[in-house]
Amino acid sequence: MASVEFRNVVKRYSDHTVISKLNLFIPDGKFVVLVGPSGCGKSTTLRMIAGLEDITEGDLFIGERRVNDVLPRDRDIAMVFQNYALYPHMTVRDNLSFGLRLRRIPPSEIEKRVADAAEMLGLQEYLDRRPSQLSGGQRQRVAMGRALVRRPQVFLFDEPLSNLDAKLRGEMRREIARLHHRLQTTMVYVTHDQVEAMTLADIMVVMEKGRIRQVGNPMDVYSQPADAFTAAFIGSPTINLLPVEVRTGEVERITTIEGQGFSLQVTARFMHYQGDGLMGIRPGDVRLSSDTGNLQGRIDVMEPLGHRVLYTVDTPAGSVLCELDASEARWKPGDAVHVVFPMELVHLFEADGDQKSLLLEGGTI
Amino acid sequence: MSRWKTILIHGFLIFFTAMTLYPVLLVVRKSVTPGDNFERSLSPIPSRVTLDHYSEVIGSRDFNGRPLFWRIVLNSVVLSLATTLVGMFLASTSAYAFSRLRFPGRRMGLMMFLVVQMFPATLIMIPLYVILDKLGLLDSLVGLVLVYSTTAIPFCVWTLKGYFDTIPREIEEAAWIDGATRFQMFWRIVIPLSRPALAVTALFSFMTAWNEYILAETFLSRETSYTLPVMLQHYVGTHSTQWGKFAAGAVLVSIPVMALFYILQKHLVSGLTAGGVKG
Repeated sequence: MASVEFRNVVKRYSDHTVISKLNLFIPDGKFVVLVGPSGCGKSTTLRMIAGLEDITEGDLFIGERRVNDVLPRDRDIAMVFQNYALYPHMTVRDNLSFGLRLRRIPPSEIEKRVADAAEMLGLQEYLDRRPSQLSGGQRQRVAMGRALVRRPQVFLFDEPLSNLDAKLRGEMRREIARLHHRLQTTMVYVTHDQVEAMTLADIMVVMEKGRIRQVGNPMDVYSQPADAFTAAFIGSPTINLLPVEVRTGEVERITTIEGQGFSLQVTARFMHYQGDGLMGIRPGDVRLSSDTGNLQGRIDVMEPLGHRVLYTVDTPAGSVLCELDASEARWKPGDAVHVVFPMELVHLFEADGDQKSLLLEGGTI
Repeated sequence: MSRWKTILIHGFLIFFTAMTLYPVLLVVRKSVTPGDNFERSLSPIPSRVTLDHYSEVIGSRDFNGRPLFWRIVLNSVVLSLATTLVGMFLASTSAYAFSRLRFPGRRMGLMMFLVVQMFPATLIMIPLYVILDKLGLLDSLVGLVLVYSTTAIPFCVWTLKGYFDTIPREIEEAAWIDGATRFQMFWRIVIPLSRPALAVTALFSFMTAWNEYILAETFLSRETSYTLPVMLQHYVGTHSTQWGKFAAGAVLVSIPVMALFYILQKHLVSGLTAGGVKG
């Protein structure tokens, strides 16, 4: 088991910078999820830990050891690939034991480790099959087993579930969570799926365009996003972001939020700021009312999701998503409604630059 | 598909199969027909049958009275196998480098391989003769092995590189992380996965050496170091041609190649990488 640390790590391909000044500490034994849209550099970051990509500048440590110039095979890590990357010409047993045989582990020990991994992943009946004779889920288990038998210091997962269907993905996700709980080994997991990120992570790292946007406990990231990007990326359905004008007094700490067709006043939660901003509110936090509210609108689309109903409401401020309990959903498309923004649940971001959150240090939502 | 379409397609296929097989059948007819004239008749069925030509070819002897035919067969087999081994070793290792590594001169090297292919073999005959002469390798199989394996390399490298490119990198990366060295990645992962391409290139190398005539005729002068194509050609004289022996020899020469095709055909089926990565 070991920690992983990036110190001012930069990754450039000729003149194209993929990762700029990455600083990140992954504590020993934690499950860390790197999440972000495609092209944000999360896979590159993972591949740098694996040693499959060179580091242009900066230092990478696994445990106490600086590993910039250490070959992948000497880093004591194991990786599960998105496309499984099994050895097609070998049986499952040989796939699992390949790394151990290369490392000249005694045969009796190999047999034991393979048997343990096969049992843990339910692969006993498939040990003599080739990968081509397995289903997608079984192949992914073999790929995980191949990592498992190595007993590495760090496990790396590169979007391991993205090739599976939705049902299997849920099952495997829980299996990975169970595995981490059992092994307590450092795991670094890359995904673009925010559900995987939210459910698996001890620490979530949100990335965009080669930079870290926010690091933190998933629930904290969800409830206190550091910027508008993170707010929009984490959470489903996507947070409503409405352009507003913000005025926060320096003394009395009252924030006035002026949007198209609505106005809100919030006390003592946001830092001093005057100018354009973005107001964020999660669809699940928006309420609807027939007679009174902050903003008038008309139901555009109604999407029943079972126990929840998702409304798209046309308002002067733009489209507003609102997710209600099915029991509260008494409006039909075309109905006039009032949209209610509970002021204690409102997020506020700068309109320019990195669109940073205006939430005061220690302020809560 | 309509019945007429089926008939049309099959008629077409049968016609071209016949076109391909007919000359071969005429050679087979000649090889079992007595006499040395090549009859003008187009019937592939011989009027009289004899195996005399075959026994004459197989029973031929050199000046010292030793069996010549088997000596020449041995020459050809050794030459072809050695060419295949040397050629495959050089081609697979360089194709791997061209496929996986990025180094100065990589593009240039690949282009040069193509350019070299565009010159006819006869063009390099004289320089090769001079080189082999200086090395003292004229009239020796070693010299021919070197010449054949190097001339087959461009084709083999391109074929193998193309195939290596289709093997997902992640499989090798997984092996690398698992603890493999570069050579182990090549030998234990890439080579076993490339059986179809290796079979094709091995067959190509083998046939290059087995069938080649011009260079062999130029570089070999002693009867005992002849290869089969050279032997065949010597049945065709300036004034008279022993067509019977020529045809019998030709049939005998093609048997090993046919056998090789038959053995290798199951490896020629691609799709060995199926199942390793998400398809």
